[in-house]
Amino acid sequence: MDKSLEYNYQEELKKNGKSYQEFNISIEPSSTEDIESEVSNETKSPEINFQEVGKPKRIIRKYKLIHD
Amino acid sequence: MIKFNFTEDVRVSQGDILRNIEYYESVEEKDGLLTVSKIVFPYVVVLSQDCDLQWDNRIRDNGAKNEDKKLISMIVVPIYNADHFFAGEHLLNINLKMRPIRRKRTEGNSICNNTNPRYHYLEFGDDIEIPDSIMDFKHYFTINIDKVKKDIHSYRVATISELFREQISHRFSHYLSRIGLPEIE
Repeated sequence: MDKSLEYNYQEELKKNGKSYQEFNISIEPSSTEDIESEVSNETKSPEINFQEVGKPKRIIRKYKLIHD
Repeated sequence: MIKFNFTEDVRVSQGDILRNIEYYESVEEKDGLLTVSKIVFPYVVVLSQDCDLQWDNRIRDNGAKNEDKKLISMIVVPIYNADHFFAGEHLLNINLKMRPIRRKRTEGNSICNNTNPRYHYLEFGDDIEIPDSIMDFKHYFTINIDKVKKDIHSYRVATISELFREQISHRFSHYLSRIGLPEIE
């Protein structure tokens, strides 16, 4: 993640007494179904398709907000 | 054929070809979930004016009495694999279906000969990892300078040589300054 982006959001969230951590699907089984359904195919499919190499791709990441 | 060079320069220059550049489309918070959407472009070319980049770098490295000439961001234009482009498939992974163009017909020839104002054809040759590509001036965006500068040797593939980069810059500015006239009924 862009460090500057991370910094800004951390600062903003701190003002509201919040912080966040990256939501890791593999170690958060309790909510996997809900989250996985919202994540785009591009982020779920690590298989390499050589016809697609060199094309721009969209990546969507989700982070769960944690209240202090 | 375009001329380029490989440099160890520590500053970003006009004509730098950068790899794996991220464009952040959106950052949204809803119900305690932060969603970040970005597009990763395999290659872009830096088109900010080189004198601006030089002054900006001088201030970042050495400081200055004031930061009047420091930049907020720099302009880049993505380049697309020419084969993908002519097939209209270069943006399929971001859900955009583009119009196929026949390379050997009039429109394809005008793109390859750089007479279509929107595009710039780049023929690289075999000394670089990049295939023949096409810049689409309509898709320009800006990126953070600090992030690139901190890891410039990883980002930079090569630098388009002077005159060639000036030609691109000139065509880009000409495209941006075009005047769209309304249709008269």
